[in-house]
Amino acid sequence: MTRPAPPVHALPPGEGFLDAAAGLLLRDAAADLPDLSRRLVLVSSLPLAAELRAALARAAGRPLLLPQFDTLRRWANGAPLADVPSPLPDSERRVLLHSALAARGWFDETALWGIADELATLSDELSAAAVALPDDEAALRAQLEHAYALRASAPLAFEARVVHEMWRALAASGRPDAPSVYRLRLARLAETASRPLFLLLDGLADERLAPAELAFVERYAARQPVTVCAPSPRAAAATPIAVALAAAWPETVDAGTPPLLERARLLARELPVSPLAGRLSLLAAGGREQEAEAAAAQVFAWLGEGLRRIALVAEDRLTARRLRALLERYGVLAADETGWKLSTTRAAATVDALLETAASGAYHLDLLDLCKSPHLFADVPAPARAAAVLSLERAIRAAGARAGIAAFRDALAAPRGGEAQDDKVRACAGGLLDRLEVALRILGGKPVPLPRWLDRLARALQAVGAEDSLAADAAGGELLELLAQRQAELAGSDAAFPFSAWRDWLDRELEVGAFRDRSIDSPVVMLPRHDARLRRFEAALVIGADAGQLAAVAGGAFFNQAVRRDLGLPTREDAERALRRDLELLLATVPRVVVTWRREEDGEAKLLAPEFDLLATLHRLAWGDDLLRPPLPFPASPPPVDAVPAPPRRAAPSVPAALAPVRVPVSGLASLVACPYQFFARHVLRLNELDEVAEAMEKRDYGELVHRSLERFHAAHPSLAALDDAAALAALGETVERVFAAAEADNWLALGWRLRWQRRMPAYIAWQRQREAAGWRWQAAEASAARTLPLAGGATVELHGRIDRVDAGPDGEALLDYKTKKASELRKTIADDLQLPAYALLREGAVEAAYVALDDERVESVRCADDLAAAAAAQGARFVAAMDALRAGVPLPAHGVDRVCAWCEARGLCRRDHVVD
Amino acid sequence: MSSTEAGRMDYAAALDPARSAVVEACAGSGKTWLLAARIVRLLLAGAQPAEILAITFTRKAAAEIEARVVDWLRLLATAPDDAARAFLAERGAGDDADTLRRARGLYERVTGAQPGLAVNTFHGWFLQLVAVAPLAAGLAGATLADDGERRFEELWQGFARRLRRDPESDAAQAFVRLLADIGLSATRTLLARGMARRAEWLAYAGDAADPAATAAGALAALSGAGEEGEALAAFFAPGWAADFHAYLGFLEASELDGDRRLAAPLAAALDGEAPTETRFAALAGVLLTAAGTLRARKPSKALDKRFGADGAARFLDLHATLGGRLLDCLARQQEERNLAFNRDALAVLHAFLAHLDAFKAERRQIDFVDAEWRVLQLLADEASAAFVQARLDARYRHVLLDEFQDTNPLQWQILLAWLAAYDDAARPSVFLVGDPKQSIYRFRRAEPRLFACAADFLGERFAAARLTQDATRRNAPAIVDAVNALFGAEPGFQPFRAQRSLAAGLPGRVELLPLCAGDEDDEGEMPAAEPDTGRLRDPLREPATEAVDRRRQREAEQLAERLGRLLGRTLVRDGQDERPLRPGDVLLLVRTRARIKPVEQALAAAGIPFVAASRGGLLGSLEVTDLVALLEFLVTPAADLKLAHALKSPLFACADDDLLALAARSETGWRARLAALAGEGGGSAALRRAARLLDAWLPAAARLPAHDLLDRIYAEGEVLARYRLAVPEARRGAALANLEALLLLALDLDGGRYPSLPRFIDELRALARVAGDDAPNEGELAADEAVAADGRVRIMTIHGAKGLEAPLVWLLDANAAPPADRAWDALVDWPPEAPRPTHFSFVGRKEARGAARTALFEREAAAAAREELNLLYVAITRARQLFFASGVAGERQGEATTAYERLRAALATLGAENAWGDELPEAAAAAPVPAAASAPAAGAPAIPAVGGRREAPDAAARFGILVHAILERRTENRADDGWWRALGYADAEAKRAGVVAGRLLAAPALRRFFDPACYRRAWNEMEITGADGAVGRIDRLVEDDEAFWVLDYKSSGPDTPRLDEYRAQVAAYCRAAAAIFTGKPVYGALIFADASMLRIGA
Ligand code: SF4
Repeated sequence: MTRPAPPVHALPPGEGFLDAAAGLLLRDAAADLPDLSRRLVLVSSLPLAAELRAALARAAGRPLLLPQFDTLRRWANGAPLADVPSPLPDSERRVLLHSALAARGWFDETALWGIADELATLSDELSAAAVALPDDEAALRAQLEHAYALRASAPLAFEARVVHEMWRALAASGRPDAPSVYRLRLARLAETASRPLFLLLDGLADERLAPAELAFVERYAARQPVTVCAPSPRAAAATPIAVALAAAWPETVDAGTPPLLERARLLARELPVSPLAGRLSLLAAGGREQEAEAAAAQVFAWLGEGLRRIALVAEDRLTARRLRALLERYGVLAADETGWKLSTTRAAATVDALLETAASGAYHLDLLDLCKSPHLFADVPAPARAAAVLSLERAIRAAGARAGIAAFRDALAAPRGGEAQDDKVRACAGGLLDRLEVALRILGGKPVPLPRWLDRLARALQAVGAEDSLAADAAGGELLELLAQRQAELAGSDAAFPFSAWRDWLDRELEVGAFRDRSIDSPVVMLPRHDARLRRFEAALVIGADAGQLAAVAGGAFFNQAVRRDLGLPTREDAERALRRDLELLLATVPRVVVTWRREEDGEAKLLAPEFDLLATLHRLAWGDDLLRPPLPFPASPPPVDAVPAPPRRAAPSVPAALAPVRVPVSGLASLVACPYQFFARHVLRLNELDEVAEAMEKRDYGELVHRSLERFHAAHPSLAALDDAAALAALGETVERVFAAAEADNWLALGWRLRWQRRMPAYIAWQRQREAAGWRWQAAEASAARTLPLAGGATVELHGRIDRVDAGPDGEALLDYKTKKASELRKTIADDLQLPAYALLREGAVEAAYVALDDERVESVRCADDLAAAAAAQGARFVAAMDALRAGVPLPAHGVDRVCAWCEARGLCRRDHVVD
Repeated sequence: MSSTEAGRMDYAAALDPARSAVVEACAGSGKTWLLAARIVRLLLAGAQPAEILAITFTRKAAAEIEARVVDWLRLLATAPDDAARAFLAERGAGDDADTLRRARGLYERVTGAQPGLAVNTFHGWFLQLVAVAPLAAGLAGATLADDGERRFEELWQGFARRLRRDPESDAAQAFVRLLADIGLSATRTLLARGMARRAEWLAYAGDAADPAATAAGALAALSGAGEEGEALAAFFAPGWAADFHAYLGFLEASELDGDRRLAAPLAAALDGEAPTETRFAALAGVLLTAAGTLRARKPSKALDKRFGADGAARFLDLHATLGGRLLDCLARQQEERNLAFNRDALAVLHAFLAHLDAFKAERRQIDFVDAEWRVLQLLADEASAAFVQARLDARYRHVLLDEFQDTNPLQWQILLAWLAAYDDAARPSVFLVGDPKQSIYRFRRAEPRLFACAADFLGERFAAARLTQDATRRNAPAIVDAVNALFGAEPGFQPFRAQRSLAAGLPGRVELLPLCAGDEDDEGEMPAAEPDTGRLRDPLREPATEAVDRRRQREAEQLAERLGRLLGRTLVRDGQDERPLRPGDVLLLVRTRARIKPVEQALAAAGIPFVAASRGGLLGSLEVTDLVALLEFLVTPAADLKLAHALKSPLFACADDDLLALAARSETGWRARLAALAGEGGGSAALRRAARLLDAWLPAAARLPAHDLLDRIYAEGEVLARYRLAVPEARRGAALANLEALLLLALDLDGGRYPSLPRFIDELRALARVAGDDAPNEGELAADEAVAADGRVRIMTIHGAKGLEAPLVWLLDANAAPPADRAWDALVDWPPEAPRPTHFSFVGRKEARGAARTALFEREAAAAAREELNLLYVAITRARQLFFASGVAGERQGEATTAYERLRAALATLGAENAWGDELPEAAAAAPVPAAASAPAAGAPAIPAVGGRREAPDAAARFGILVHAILERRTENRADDGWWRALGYADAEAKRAGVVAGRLLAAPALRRFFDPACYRRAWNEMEITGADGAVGRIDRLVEDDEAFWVLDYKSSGPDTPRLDEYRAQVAAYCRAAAAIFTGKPVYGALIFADASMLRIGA
């Protein structure tokens, strides 16, 4: 590899590095002082440039006109240069690759964007490494065969073909890619060099600079003075830290390398005192939360010592996010230099909710998610919007409307569930639906090119009033910006895509697009490892340093490492080396480094990253200290002072007479008997679950439809006398089909339920004939009944219910309740049953009360108590007594049995699970 | 362990890196030790880390092996020479200087290796292979989908929609027939189970064009069944009636009423016109019982008298033949039905799997089964196999297989294909270790018979040494006695070699507790139904007594009571020392998680800390539902019940009276009521606090991702501190861990794309709905909990406890009958040596199985019975010192022997009744049971606030920045276009700003600053430092003949209230500039948007 002609000033990395660099810069520019404006200073990263600038100002000790600071890439790409072509935008290139792939029909449609992305990445890598693939495919194949050590392999030939053809397709576009343009610009800028250049690198020149950049420096130096300044390689640095690190992480380990133990002994002899002991410690945590807490505690400790410039190196993004939240609790805000994927922002979620709603045919959950976005309908005043969305949700739940704007509109138009809806609110909700419909229609069009899709999206967002609020949101603004930029880049693109392919494209854009929250200004900075290079933090935390996460990543879906090496592409070894360099620089530059990792995750052991493991081992061998430190305790949250909770006792509230219910349904009586507290929740507090929209038909719905079909059937045929079996069956069958039709239209699987019921029909007809033979006549269905019962002190309570079916017989009425259960099941619980006696109480004069079991080979009735009247009276007496007691202030204890509690919605209110008797 | 101690096993052969080996090693014999030792030996012998592939059953085990190897290598690198030599010798490696030197270098060689040592699971390895599949395999960019219940529901619904679109298709027709025949839920179950066995189905189907027909054809061939009705038609073949007429003659001649009664229907059936089904039923009614067996007719004196000796013989003969014909026909009808059912079920399964494939293709997903199956396909093809081998960066020359008894036939086929891809010269060494006795994963298709099969294969082809290890280091001799007594003579457990304990002198005990009986009183006590006395239970004063099983409660109480006596008193061995038993030493094993409730209750009541390894329980726990209720309320403020729930949780700690106060109000909705009440200053302090916090959280909920919102709630709502106070001690740790787990779950879900709170809630609901493995697990207990030192009693399933051990193991519910066969399942036969299954069919209800597949059912039953024994073996061998078993009496029992009965028999062979082994020593004085974790001391440290929020630039400032940028570009004659978009400006904005910039550039008064003819030099955005080192930025600096000008653009007008501030800034710049440019005066000026100028200074 060519070395740059200008001398590289190797400065030992450390706290004084930037000051030394600034000194060099001043020395170089001595002739110009104090006006350095003519000079150009290029630094590896912008934050580092800022630090160098500050160092320069300090070093000068007098007013200066500062030189121009920039990074090499930014400066080169931004410099005004005539006649340099603009590069083929990445977005356009991807469309190009996609089309080229699609034209060949090699892969599934759904795979194309992914493969196009991989090819684009590979192309960039080739370009950046200045690798030209051989001109013909056979040569590439031969090269791959050599590197894979594989002959005459069809899969290999195909890989070669894909790469080669796509590479040619890109070349055929006639426009250079970004790396080529960059190369070109560098060449031109070197030719026109007119200012002295000072270049500060954060690593070895041939590791940090691409070939084109090295060439640039060399050529620039031919015209103008160039000073290159870089941290000296470890071998040359000879600081105690460098010596220790060299012992821990030799550049190469081979047969000639002395064993660790020996190196440790030598090291201890050379450096009796560890240069790392005060600088580095390793912290093992038990879990993610413990790791975040340990990290936060460390930050607090440092702040307490007066340190401020603290780097949080986020190897584990999730733990880092936990850490950020914990810090914020204590008023410590961290500036974020890492940035988040746009796709993880709330703004992107709004856009996605819109697309998902369109894709799912307005599935209710998606639509409600969309409506609840803070960005939507920003033009409607917030309270009105909230009320409208709420009313829409109520309507959808009450109607069980699963999907489709039309269904939701119907739901709004026919309010159920009793509650009177405010017309104005309803109208507003309807208006929102209209606008959503418009948006969905815009997004529902035929395949069009990407820019037109983006246009559709913009119009759809406008339709739902989200455009301005998204623009006003930091992440939303960046998102819209990104889309506008893509739209402009792709203006000439004419490949048409269907909705799904477009959405896939958009997902990828949002996945790649980054959002940086710039709203926080803080000396505590969260940043990726490589951005910490050489920066003079007072302390640094490395979070998530286990072997899995603190590891070199080697990219590329194409080729293995051997082939990459053979082609001249960066390999995992290069990444590995870069990782060590980063750590070396960090340890050399930052005087306090704490490394945290989780010892295990989901019960699996996790190893510390080998770099630190080696270092710790060496350190122990040399100085008897493995650098492991116990985590500092996280400040315990102060005990609550306000409304302090106590361990729960068994709930047993007393009800003020004014709140005692005056109308109680039979189900309420059942609840009162099963668990008074449940009764309290349902009938005193009147708290119930909101309706849920069912995905598919459930047993409960089935029962309802069975009821309805029998109600209709008997209304038409109160007696079967006139029908023979076939006719009766046909009539019932037809009724059943009609009753189930809507459910089947909604979900075909309801057919299964219908068939289940239809299998029972002959048995039902037979049972009905038996009843008629025994003298019973069908009389009414769904009969409401109520009875007012006197309570102590002149008060009353009304018990009410609805009876499935009433038959008339010679001696009186029979009260029947249909159950889609087996008779054997019903018999098991009939002794404890109170529903039937309660019905008998409501409808005096009944001589029989029974369940009709509809889920057996035979239909049977299961009768309750022999002495129905007595049973009814007993239930009545108990109810009255209980209501009297309730009104007298007797508490309502939560003492349901498991079977009842299992399905009880008041479980969170009675706190049963936390009560220990 | 030293090799001499290990006794019979030939460690030299097992660890010899040059040889392949198969090791059958019993529980507690140190398989991890063996594997890790073999890996070290391989490395010592010069193997590169990347040449080693070790596969084990779980990721946990893989991580453990890897950690062990690294620990050992570190030890080798750092230990004094003697220790390192001893270490090497113990593992059969040479201890010469050269070996030692190499050994010392391994640590660095291995930890730094790229690619490194691969310890993986089968799944992990398959995914790795999928990742390097040839492009043409179409796997590029596929993501891994989970195979859970949630996805199944989605598939099932989608499948129905698809069928409905084409109701005439064969699949739709078959589906409707299934619905009519077996119903909706059985159909769903069939498909779910069929899908679970998809890999076997694919393997079975091979490349058959219509695999469903192939499978049905095979079934038809097996059973000889034809179309429905064939058997009946055959029965009624011409001449069928003759014998029946003869039989009728006997019946009519009989004087017995019973016989006569049978004669009439027989006669009717013989000459009736009724359909054949009816006539057949009538015939069956005459000769067969209602249960479908032949009516008993025996030779007897009476019979001889009735029909004469010959007649009687003839009658009995007829009875037997005709009955046989009927039964035969019935059996064949059953097979016909089975065949028809299978045709439909297999066709529907096939269509469903096609739907599944389409579903995944659309989403570019693969699942684990795909991975397995695709890998087999890849490896079965020579070209792709070679490519995959070449494409991997690692070249495996040593393959180690752990827990081989848990391997399934498909995995074995994959391994075979992998091994076949090596040419003979490069053939790897194979090391296989396992224990067929511990095979308990039949439900995951594990095939224990593969062990022997693979051992034979490796013996033949790889000259593998075959070794056994029957000595355990784990179990005390008393436990091993019981193991030997249990299994030594058990025919179903052969071959079994008696085990030995290497833990000589370790006291141990096996104890069987009396079965808990359900006593008579229980029934008598039930007060629920007392209609006779006329008095009904007063629900306000008397709780209902559940018809619960008191037996289980008793078993749990007995457990808690016994543990209470043992904890802190009984001494167990810990390394070389003895110490009192701690809760963390106790492992409670259950068959299924369904029955741990009473155990939890009893432990909680006794104050014994425990952790239930109930998977999927997180979202059902009260503390988590508390927080979820709060979130649901925040998302849907109409959810009154959720609000009330949150109010009563410790988070707000409201009382029932508070709820009553809200119930009494008239506003619509509880949120409004709460706001109104608090607004009036009414309600309790708790209610007012709640109102205050909720007001703050409601708007936050719209914007914040779930994790950030929850974190805020945890902090502002003092969640952990409050639950610490409000949850009873025995449950406290678990509750706090669960709350933490919820927060981390939110973090995980948020880590994905597109976070919104409604989606998070939907996600949680969906997770809560699904059963089992999909649902998030309860929180792991924090290591720093105060009880950590003593740990908690663990409640686990036997499956979950595999690989664990504990000083005390208690098997609960040991008298339970083994699980019954399931209806609606797939029946698959895959002989271990076969490349693919030999049978695939569906099974309906038990009574409708038919006889044709009897051999297969018996094989299944035998495997199930063997697995029962294996479960018991696994359970008892978890115990280091103490093993208890308890159970309840009177469980419904088939012929199967229960674990409890086996244990009793085993103790009897040892000559003991209920206990065998030693009395464990006790501590002199009982150590105190751990005290409750007191709330940590208060006092937030003084942490300085650091960092602040920048104000986002307002519209005017934004505009100003743009004008700035335009001025900069125009004065530098830069002609590029569209650059403002990259800065976040719309074209319209750029236009407006351009106008303003133009105005400035054209203003006559400012020309001197912008027209190059008027000045000497000019700089834009010039950075300058003052004497104090502070860096500033001058918008434009101009040098003309007389002076330097420091210009500052302002987007406001000259009437801005911040004028003084601006002046001061420019003045400072001027001062700095003056220090730099000593030759000329420096002037400053503010330039406003209206092109006016304000001079600063001289
Ligand atoms: S959970 Fe059980 S105890 Fe609590 S209210 Fe419901 S039924 Fe009563």
